Amino acid sequence: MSDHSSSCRNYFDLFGLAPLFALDRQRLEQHYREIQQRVHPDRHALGSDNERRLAAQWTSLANEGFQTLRHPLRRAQYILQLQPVTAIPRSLPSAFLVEQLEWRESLQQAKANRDTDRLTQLYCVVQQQAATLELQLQDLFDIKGDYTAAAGLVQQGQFLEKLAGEITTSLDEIADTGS
Amino acid sequence: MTLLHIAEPGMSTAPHQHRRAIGIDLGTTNSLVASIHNGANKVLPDAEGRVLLPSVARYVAADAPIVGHAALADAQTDPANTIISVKRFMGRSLRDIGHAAALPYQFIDNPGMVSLNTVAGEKSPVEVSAEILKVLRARAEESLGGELSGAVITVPAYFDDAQRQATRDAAQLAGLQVLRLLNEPTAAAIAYGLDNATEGVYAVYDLGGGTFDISILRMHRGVFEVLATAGDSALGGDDFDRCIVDWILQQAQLHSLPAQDTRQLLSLARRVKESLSAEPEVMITTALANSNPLSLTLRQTEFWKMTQRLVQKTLAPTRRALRDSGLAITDVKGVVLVGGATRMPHVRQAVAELFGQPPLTDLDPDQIVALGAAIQANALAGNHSEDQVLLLDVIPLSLGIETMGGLVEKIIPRNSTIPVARAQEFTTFKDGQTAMSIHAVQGERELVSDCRSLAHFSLKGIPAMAAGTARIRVTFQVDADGLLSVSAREISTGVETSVAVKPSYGLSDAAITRMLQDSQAFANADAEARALRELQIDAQRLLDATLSALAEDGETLLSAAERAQIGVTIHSLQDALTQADRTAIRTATENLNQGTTEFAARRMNRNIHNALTGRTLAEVGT
Repeated sequence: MSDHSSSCRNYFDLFGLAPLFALDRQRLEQHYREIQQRVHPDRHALGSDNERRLAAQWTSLANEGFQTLRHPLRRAQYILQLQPVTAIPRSLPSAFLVEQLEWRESLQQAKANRDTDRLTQLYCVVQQQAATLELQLQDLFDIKGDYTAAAGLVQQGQFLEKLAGEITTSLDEIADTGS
Repeated sequence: MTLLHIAEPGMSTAPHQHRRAIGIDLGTTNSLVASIHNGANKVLPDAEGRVLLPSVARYVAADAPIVGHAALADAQTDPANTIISVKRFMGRSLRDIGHAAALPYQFIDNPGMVSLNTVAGEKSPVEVSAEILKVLRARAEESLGGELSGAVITVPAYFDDAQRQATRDAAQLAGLQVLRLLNEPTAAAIAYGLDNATEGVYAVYDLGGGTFDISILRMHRGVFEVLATAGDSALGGDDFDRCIVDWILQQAQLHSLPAQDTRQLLSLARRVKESLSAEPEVMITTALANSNPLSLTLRQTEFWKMTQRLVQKTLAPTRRALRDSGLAITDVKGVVLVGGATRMPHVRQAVAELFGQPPLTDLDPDQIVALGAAIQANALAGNHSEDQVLLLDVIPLSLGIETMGGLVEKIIPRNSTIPVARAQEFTTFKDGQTAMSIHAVQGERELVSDCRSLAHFSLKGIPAMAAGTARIRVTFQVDADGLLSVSAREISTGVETSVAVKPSYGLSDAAITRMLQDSQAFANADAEARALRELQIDAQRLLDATLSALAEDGETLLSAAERAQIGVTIHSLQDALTQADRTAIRTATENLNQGTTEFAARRMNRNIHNALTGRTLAEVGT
């Protein structure tokens, strides 16, 4: 959002939030709605072409910012992105990798058997793990200020997110292709 | 001050004049038009007082097609030329229409979208839909007493880009100015939510004649935020009718039927289905052209059993939408039913069981969508109302790009709030590669072949570099109608190409132009006069917008010199408007547009700023 966003250096600024991992969700949602009330293209339907183009740009920016801050993992990645340079751990803990392999095996098996119950269960386990990770990230970012360790956890989070995505895709495919 | 001069003699700035805006529910089975007039939101009836217009057009040789009730009455005698449920063919190829063989039409397998062969020649589903829209447009003009300033047309939330584009094309062909394509469940939510001052999370379960949508929305202080949507754009009441037809054929031991009999049985099946919503059993008696008279009894329980599979098919998308919304079933405060097919008790029962609460049925499932569209049309046309709603809708299907090995890389995931723009970088995979072909697709599957192809285009003139060094940024942009445009840019050189996603399916601009010329609505109109009129409307609209912006913010956001400068361009445009010179009007419009770019930017920045300050003050106050 090049020249027009001088007053908003980042998404936290845009929504008037402190640049922390811990999120005041209600406040984010309220501020998002207030901004949309003013910039949404529907509010400028009778405006000039310029105004409508700007409205679409600002709305896209607000949507993107809102989604970025709302999702814990994307918020974490965004905070890391705002740091000058962060060292990233070279490897993931082996216990985590072993667990990943096991889960992937379960996924493949459940997928082959079209076992939606097992897939749903696996999805819940992965989501729980992601929730635990979120608590750890809050501690690392906001209390310890350990961005390197946080970057390591973000990598783990990406694994989990990818896995969760594959589970939902499998569930969708089973639903789409009928039972 | 110049401002007063600007608003003076003979100019119609008329900011408070009521604009005639309509909402149209272009349904599979029936269509409706509604409008807010004299403060009341009403569905507009025809001369006989009927509000539903059957979405049926019958083509006859050498005359305008017959549309609506009369066409429906002819369906049995002239099935091949009487197009029913055309919505199911919008933006679809023959391959997409699973039951084409069972329909009494002569399909032409055109790439992208089928056409239908009729006595009046080849007709695209876009043209057939336009005939229906024209009737509604005429009804609205008659009823509201003059030219319309625009229409909101509803589409199933689960319509993909091709189906949306086809709908937009149909409206254009019918001479309607499309203010917005609005998702049907969202329209229903507006009408329901405003009526009941609803707050909280609601589900809208919309089973129409040919499409199924489920949307999960959060309503909060006039903001309608769609959290997730899912559906099936080829599932609806028609499929229940077909089950009954299949059952009759099986009972009567009939196999293939002539087109007339097929149509007759389909109409009969619809009536049987409707009766079975209230009666425990229905007697079916009919005489077909080539068989003995039929006399059968279908029981409600049997009908439910044979259509349970269809009801089940709505539950998987419902669960998916809930999962995507990140909410549990217990978070849903109420379930709004939309669409005539939700009158079937076993559908209601399945919904009640899934959500653990009886659905809300205190509204007319046929009218609610058109009423919601009228509310949005009224707002977008600039008419003031106490109900200032804001809609935040989503795209139903992920948008992505083809990568190596026929795989899809998603760029914008489904259920992203629109408008949205997102970019992703790609690189070349061969040394010295100077062009890159870009294939945009829509769908959830991993393989390109399982998704819908939207557009192919190529970025040429990439400087020859080693493989993997070029940086090509592909930007996907989805507007508030849910329509996609794609652009690609090589970063080091700035070589750029873009495409509004349109030509690879359905209709090219040239085809639309031809249809416009062929179409009755414009056959007599002078093309020149029409072009001039369009320029004048655009110019007047820009003038109105600029004048009201100046009145609001001219003093605070512009220096005297800047105001004077804009004043000069305004006067040139006003002068140009007094003459019928298209070039002069176009140039003056462009000048004013350019001259107000900075002003528009300042206004928008101020809006953001106000959103923040306004909030801070409010918080200090509490």
